[in-house]
Amino acid sequence: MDESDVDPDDEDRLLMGRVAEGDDAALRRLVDRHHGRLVGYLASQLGSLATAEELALEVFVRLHRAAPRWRPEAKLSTYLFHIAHNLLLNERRRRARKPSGALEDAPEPSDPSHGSAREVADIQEAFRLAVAGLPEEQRTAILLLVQQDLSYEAIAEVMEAGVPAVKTWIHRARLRLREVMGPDFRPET
Amino acid sequence: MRDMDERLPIDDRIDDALRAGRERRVPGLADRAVAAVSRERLRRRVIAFANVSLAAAACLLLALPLVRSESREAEAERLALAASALEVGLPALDDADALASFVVSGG
Repeated sequence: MDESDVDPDDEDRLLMGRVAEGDDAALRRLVDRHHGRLVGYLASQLGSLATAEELALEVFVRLHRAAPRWRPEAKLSTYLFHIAHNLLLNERRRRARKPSGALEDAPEPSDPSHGSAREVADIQEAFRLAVAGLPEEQRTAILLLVQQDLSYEAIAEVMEAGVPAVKTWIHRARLRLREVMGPDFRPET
Repeated sequence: MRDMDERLPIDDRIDDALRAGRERRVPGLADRAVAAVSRERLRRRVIAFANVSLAAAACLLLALPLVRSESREAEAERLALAASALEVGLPALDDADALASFVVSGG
């Protein structure tokens, strides 16, 4: 059977079974399959690729630890985002206790050498700040829905909340982003 | 909440901007994850070994009177020694990383 014929969720289940038995190759494959989205999500949440990588590593260590007890009732990606969500909450509590300065939250430097590139960079930065300025729940909910294509039910599971609350957070996030970015917002210009 | 699902043209542009950060692939992350998991396994083995060793040492000290007779003073001294071994050893288990580093470095 061709590898592409295997349902991705079934393959995740098989790989998790092998991870529970201590198979490092299976863990490597799971990391390869899922880390891109996880790091993208964490980087959008934290504004720092380096911190996002560290947290993603911790997500996979915790996944490995939980593998023997894991029951495939939900998609593995939902479970991974759930672990990531809890780690993000811990990270924010840690930062609140021990503020480490603005550098950690600074975006990766860009080098807009001429006008239009600079304009694009400015718009991207304004958007990044608008997302960063959203309340925690609103930012998490809209990122998981729009950026990561999770269903409302999956988001509710990740955030340990009800679906109506998730819908409200997303609605409020949209209102806020519309207001901050204005009707002329063009991310690609 | 009125018109909760109403979409405006700007929503499509907001969604595009959000999706732009969807995926950030990091070369070598899988290797780093496997290395981190190996360290975690070693740490757990060290903790298990330390737990068993400590319990065995304490049992040995407590079992001494079964094989030899001793005075009350010697017995009190032996019990105090067993208690202090546990007292000294157990807090170290709370700091498992330090314990693992200590054992890996050969003490």
